[in-house]
Amino acid sequence: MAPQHYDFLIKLLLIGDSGVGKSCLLLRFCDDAWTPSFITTIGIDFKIRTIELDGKRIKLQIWDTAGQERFRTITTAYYRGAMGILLVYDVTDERSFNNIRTWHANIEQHASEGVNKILIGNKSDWTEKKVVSEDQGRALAQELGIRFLETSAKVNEGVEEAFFTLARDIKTRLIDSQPDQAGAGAGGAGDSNINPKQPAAQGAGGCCS
Amino acid sequence: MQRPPPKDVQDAFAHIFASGATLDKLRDRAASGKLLTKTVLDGVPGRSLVWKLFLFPGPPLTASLSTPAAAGRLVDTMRSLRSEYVQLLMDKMRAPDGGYEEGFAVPGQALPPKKAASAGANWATNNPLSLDDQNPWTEWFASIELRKTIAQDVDRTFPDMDYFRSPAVQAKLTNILFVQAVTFPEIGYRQGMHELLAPILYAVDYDSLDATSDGPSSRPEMLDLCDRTWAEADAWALFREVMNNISMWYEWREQPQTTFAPDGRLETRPYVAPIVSVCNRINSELVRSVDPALYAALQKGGVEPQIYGIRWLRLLFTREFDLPDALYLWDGLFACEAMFDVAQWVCVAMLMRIRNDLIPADYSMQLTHLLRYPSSPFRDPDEAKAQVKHTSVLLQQALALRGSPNPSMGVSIIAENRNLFGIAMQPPDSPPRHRRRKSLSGSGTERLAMKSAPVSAVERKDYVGLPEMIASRLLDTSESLGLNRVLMNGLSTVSELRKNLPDLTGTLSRTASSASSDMNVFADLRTPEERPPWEPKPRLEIEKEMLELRAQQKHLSESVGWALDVLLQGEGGVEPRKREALEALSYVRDLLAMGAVASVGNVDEDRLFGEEELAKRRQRVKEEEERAAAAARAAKTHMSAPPARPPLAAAFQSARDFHGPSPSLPRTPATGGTTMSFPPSRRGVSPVVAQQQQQQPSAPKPPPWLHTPSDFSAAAPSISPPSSVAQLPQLPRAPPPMGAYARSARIATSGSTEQAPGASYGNLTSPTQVTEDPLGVLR
Repeated sequence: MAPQHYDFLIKLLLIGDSGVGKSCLLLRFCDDAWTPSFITTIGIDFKIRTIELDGKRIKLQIWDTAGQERFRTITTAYYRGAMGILLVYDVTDERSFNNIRTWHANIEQHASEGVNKILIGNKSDWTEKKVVSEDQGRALAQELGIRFLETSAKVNEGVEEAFFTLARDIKTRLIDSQPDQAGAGAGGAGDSNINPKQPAAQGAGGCCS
Repeated sequence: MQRPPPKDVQDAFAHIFASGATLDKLRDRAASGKLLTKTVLDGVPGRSLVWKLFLFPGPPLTASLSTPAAAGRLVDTMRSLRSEYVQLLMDKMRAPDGGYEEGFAVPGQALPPKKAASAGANWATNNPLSLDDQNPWTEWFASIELRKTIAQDVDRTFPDMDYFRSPAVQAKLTNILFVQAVTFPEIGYRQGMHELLAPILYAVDYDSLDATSDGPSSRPEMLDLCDRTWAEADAWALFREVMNNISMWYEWREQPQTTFAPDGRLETRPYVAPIVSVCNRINSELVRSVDPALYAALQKGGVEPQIYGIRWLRLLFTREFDLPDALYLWDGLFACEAMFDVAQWVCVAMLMRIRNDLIPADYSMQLTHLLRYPSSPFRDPDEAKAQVKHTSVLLQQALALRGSPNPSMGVSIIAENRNLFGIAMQPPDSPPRHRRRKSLSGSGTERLAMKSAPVSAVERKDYVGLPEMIASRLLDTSESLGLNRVLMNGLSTVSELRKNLPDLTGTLSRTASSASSDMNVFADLRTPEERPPWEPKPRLEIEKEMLELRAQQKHLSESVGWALDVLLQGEGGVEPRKREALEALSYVRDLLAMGAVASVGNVDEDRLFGEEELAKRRQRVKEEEERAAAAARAAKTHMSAPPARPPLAAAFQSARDFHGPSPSLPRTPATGGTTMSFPPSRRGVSPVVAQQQQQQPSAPKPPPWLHTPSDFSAAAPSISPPSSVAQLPQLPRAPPPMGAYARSARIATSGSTEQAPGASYGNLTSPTQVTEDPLGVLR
């Protein structure tokens, strides 16, 4: 397990009801695999994937938690240092959708201010069972002021996009806006619209031996 | 599910109930992983019987289990538990209208339960649509929800095992979890319980007998204990007992805790879940008491202990190890009176086993090691088969640590891990470390952990020579001093830990002028023969003696184990073997009575085992020898290194002949890349030793007070070191690698002190074999 070199480390959390497919999303994103019978997450698990964003190597440390693990048992440990959160519900399970507000309230309470969030409606491939429409999801996301995406870990749809979008938002907020960092166009970071084509720091690859 | 032939269960039953053993003995044997050794298909026959014996109130500890009353008592207990379960199940599953869900089956009843007469029949409250607060249907709907939640996890239970895919099995699991949740509403159902229950149901079902088909051939009480009809009820009863011990780890409440402050006022504090406080205790009390260096590293890394502890404890380690291995750990845990406490010490032993990974790691790597715990300490899967059950070793270590929670025991555990699994006694040189992650709490704004790209030469302390290192250590007053010392100076890991041992330091403090106990390690370089007899033994020598003692005790225990096996198998056995066993037992007794120290090295192997067993052992050694020789030949074709001596053979030989001079310490074949261990011999540790030995290429002159040859000095072989020694650079050499077979090699080390110089020189002749460089000077 040779340590991979990276420029930035970003800690992400997966949150949502039990059985919405958090672990499956993680497995798809980090190992590009899928299994129909996933064991229940007990406590906390995590996986790592290093991605490249605008010429920077970004190590995503993604934490997965047991859906039933309501808070307090591990809250502080879990939220500490989290920079982005994926709020996941199951489009075939209305209750998991309704519970998103509760989860969101929990985030407001425990996570640090300004943490980037994204709403994820998982299992989008299961159309015949779908009970939460894409519009409903989008409306909720708008209400909460966060981004939204439907995903399917099973058919690998939207998964990459979800994680990359969140990672990019975080990079914009935390890295590009820092005056000592390469991102010169920090002034415009207030707008959530990031420009992925920004050719900043292409030569940076060599800096990390 | 494929069950074993009934005969296997009967054998297990006979082993438990007809061998004359007491419950106490069974518990001991289970704790050392020696009770259930036979695996048939995917299970261990008799396991559920043993669990029942351990967990339910049964016969007294010291009475023989062979009396008819013993099994009978357990049967009685089971009967009442079974009827309790049926009662509970029927109560909790009954809808407010007195009916049951379709397909609901009650154990022991052929027909589905009849609809009971409706209790209140007050239609104003008792109807599904009533909005009355007292409406029993509200509770009923809640319990349906609960069953759904449970079923969702049950569906995901051990997805790789076909047994758990069966709807009937899933229904049983759901029933049991549901009954447990509603009978203990303050805990309820929590994720993880399903994976605690599943192996229990499996074990019970695996051992179960069919009353009609297996009935005629079985003893009646055995049939009663293992009746398949009651598998579900029995599993529930066992599960409840386990939960009685550890359910607080699942407890969680919303409310803050209200307690009385010292000044008498009521104080409201946020609720801390018991699992969190237990995990914190494991780290800040238990680990700290036995392995201060590991504790410091964990503190420094900053991984909250509940992050890994929650899974380890709630599932009783089934995710950390392969299920069969984990269940051997369960056997031992269930045998313990204080399962709750012992499990916490198992966590400590687990942490200590990967301490070499944890100590040099940063937050992120520590997290990885803790959440991806290695399922086996053996590097070679073949080895895993032949050797001890590594999870039983964990339990033994947990019990030992619990019995004497001090750094001395910590050191013994570290040494044991080296001897059994070839785990080095100190962490490898820490890789050049980047600036440590700043504390993440505090300012409130998150921070990106930046990776500082190039490593400055200053940080690479491993380039610094030994003298500078010692100097810097002595001058360095930073708080990380303790940790650095441990990381950089392998040997002082031991001395560091020992420092906290008041009793030993008391006897060991040499003179008032000793600069520091740490320096003693380097200062006292004389061999035991050179040291005047009036001076107390240095710490390292005592440590070595302790290791030797342990090795010998272990060896003796093998003999006792063998003898007991012979005697237990006994019925109608061959008489001469029994006599042999008795003779061996009495010999061991005499040895122990003589006092262990006096008898180190005076063990007559022939008297420890019977002829047959001895022949077997010799055969095994011979095979090992041949294999090692073959390996050495193969290695020789690749490199011109001298052929390695077959380790086990050497070990065996010196074990048999403790006083005889041995040409060299056993060495494992020079396989690249294996981590080598580091026996706490003072030789070959410091450069000064090497220099000293180089300055005396011929046999060391005995000091003046040894001019009269004693038994000891006479036995010392005069070894003239090979001429190549002189050509070697003046560098410290690691002691011979001990590697995989170190367990037996430990006996060899204990063989005699006379071996050591030879070993040291032998090592010098083959510098290619030096794979370890604890001081970082060789780079």
